[in-house]
Amino acid sequence: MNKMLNYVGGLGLGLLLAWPAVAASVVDLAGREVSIPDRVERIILGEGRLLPALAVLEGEALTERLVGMPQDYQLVDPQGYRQFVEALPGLAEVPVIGQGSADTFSLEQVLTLRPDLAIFSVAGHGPDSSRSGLVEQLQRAGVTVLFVDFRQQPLLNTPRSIELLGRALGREQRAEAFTRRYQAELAKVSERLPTTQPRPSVFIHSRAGRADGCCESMVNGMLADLLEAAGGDNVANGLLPGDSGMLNLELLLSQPPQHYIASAIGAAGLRDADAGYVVLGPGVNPGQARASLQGVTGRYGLPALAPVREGRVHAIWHSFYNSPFNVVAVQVFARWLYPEQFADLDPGQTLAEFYAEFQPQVLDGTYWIDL
Amino acid sequence: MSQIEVLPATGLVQGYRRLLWRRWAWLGLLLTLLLVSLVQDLATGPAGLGWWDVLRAVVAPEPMDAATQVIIFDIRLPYALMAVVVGAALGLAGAEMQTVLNNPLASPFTLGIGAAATLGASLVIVLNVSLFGLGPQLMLPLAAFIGAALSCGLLLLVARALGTAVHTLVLFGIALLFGLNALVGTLQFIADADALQQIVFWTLGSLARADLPKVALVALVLALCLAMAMAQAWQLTTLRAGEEQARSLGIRVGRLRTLALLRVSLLTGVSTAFVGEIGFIGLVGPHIARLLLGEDHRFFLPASALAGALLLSLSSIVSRALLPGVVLPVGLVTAMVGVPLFIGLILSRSRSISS
Repeated sequence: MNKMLNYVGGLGLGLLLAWPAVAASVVDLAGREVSIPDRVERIILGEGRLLPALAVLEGEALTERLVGMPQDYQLVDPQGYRQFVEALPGLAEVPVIGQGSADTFSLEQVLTLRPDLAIFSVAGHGPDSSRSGLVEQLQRAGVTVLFVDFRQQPLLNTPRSIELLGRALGREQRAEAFTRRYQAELAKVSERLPTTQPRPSVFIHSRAGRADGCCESMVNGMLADLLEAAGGDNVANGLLPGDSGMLNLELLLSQPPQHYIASAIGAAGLRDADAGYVVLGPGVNPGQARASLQGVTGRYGLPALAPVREGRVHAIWHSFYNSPFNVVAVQVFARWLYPEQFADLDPGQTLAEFYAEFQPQVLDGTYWIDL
Repeated sequence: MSQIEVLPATGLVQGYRRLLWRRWAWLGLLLTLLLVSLVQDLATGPAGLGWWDVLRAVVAPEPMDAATQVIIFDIRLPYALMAVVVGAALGLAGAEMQTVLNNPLASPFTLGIGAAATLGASLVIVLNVSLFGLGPQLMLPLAAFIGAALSCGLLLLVARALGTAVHTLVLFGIALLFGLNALVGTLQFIADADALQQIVFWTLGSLARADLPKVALVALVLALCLAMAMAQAWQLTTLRAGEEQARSLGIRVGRLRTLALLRVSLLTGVSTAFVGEIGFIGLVGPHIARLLLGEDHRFFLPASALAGALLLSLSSIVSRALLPGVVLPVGLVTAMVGVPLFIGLILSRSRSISS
């Protein structure tokens, strides 16, 4: 609950920081003071997975100013990328800058595209805030670098990041429409979260189905923050020293959590479906998703786990951890953990409305599933 | 290194007996320590099951709830036993390699066999390579094994070509190691972050993939290789006195070397296939054995296996006891446990020799 207040308070602070700077100066999500160019004509993305965030602001005009992005999006989620391209065929023509990892990000190639704005993630798969050398070189070459974050503190930083991008791209109205909507959807959970009963315990099986065994989980940021906001008690809290790590299956069996939530890194159109990952996301149908979840919970001794035996098994699209629509995952978690209190909440509709208003492509796929 | 003592001629036989007895005592001590470590490993875990509960479940199974069943048969037993058999396999492989290549720095990992296994596994992780429609659960160990076997085959070919100049094989192995690492690096370069993390995890080594059939397979290979190696123990001991010496005694050194390297490839291949890279054991296990009981291969070979098994078993305990409820990659822990132990042993030995 306290954490919720922090989010709301933090947003207020974010607005305060951003608002008075009516001149062309903003503080980005890495805490840097950045002066924004008067006109932004040529944008590059540090990771392809920022595409949905950019689309929130640019809408149908997404490809008009986008001059380069790495190809991690199509590698990780080919079907989601295809849906984007179907809506905006010009996207396929956007030059590729790197595979997605920071090491393949070629400065020289980027500079030949003559961008005036580079949008990077504070942490993530592309060049991040630790690459001060790269950022400094870009700045010297006249490229403004802006850091956004949907991952480290998703609920706090998603509205701040969209706000920031709105200012930089001259799309303040769309940014405001999004953040207003975002806060309203978040409030639907935070304002009605039961405070009297003990919070249900949850094991997040991060990237369930990977061949290196069971049971990876996560504690800071990413899906863990979304679970926290939905009133879940993450069993990995206090155990893992970093953001993620391997829990001992024995611990889960001897102190069983009430709910099992797998994060799905399998995607339609990838061979991962055979690899035994849970498959969710664009272009996935519920039958496929359910079968893949059954496959994962049938392995590693998981059938003996209490929530699996007793049918409190869920899976969520892993990419919500780095998506501006992460608030939908909060609603999904809330429904799973408190089915009675949130019986009238419809996260499916929330997601559909977000897509209708803020994304150029049609929503087609399965993003969460239960057994 | 020298266990030979200056003895009055009349006491030679008696002295030899005493030497043998001391070596048996060291073997017994290593075995006892290994058993203690194994029992402690079986008792380590957050579920509050003691080693006795685990053993009773194996010896006299009673009806138990599904969770306990899984804890004992899918977690405790495979972890603890896999640590023992893989440690022994790597210790034995290192010992044979150091002997037949006549180089104390030889080990399956310093000569690139481990890196070849990693390359095989990385190919599967990054490029989704699949043969015969096998999923990655089977493809990973298979590819790792193929990688290890191929690199060993290459080492064998070069060893044959070099003939007596076998010490250069170590240089070849090291060059191979760098080449293979570069290839793995290239794969990491094109891998996405997720695949990259999987490769890193693989190179750290993990017992989390273990199950009882895999343990049985490694144990079988270990038993076969140990039996074959013991049958050649005298020849191997003689080889330590010098290749010329061994030849003059009628030992077919080339054949001996080929057979030993074949065993090394089998042992390393199955081990890395199931647990990933665990580098330190194959190098240090044999050195611990040599420091304790000398070069007589009747004792040196089993002692290397025991020392390797003990090291990995201790590491397995630490990997799950360090952070309660969390499993650390065992390869990471191996060096943390092994390096202080090894340095302590070297220092105490050099002190006792100089005094």
